[in-house]
Amino acid sequence: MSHKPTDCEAFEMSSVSNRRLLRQEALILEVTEALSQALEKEGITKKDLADRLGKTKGFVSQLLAGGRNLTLRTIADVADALECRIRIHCEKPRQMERGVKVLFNDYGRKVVPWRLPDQPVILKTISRKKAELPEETLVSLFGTAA
Amino acid sequence: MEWAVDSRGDLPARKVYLSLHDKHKVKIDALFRRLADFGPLSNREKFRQLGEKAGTKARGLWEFKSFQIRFIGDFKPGGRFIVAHGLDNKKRDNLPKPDIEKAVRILEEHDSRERGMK
Repeated sequence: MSHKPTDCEAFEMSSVSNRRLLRQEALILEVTEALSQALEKEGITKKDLADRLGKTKGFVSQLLAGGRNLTLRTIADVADALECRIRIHCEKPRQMERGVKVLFNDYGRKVVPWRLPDQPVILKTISRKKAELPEETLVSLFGTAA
Repeated sequence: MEWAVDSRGDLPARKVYLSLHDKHKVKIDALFRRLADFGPLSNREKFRQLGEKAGTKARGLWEFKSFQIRFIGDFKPGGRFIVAHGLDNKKRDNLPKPDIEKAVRILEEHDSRERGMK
């Protein structure tokens, strides 16, 4: 289904370098999220981790903020301090899962609900621009194009 | 992820987003996508809930952090997150009170507008 690109999509599509920068940031977030979740799961504070690494709490904060260059060696050191193992795999970008409705707010932007797919979402605001949506979209959302 | 719409029909947070330098925009963009794709972030250096200090009305709102850039918003039923306000929080740890109040006001206006459209 075609739709007007969201602001984020427009930025991603604006140039190859922007798309690559975005992928870089996504990977940094992937790593910092994994480390944050490991800290939370193990009940380890940033201070504890800093002590285990022989670094300051500020170092750990900067690391998790993505402010420090997260080298593979640094990540391995942190994983060692957390007594966990980092696993990496490559995959194609996630596709929208089957059965998930792509919704639009009244400004025509795509709304991506998370923790899909068993969570149908209906936005009341869609009715305002109902007439501008393709007939098939109206039917899928409202059961009728009228 | 949606931009909040204020009483004048403007999208204040979007204006801030569009005005950002690409190097900042890419970081914010990645945070928004992460929330949209995976739900709330665990990393409190990047995504945290405002506490008591923010005041009664603002307590519970969420703040995206990327170096000096901040965006404030809140979750809504149905897997939605509304981004209300953005700012460049130069060399301060805490959000300025006027900006918190502005975010609260915009979210209230957004809710009121949505209720009126039901």
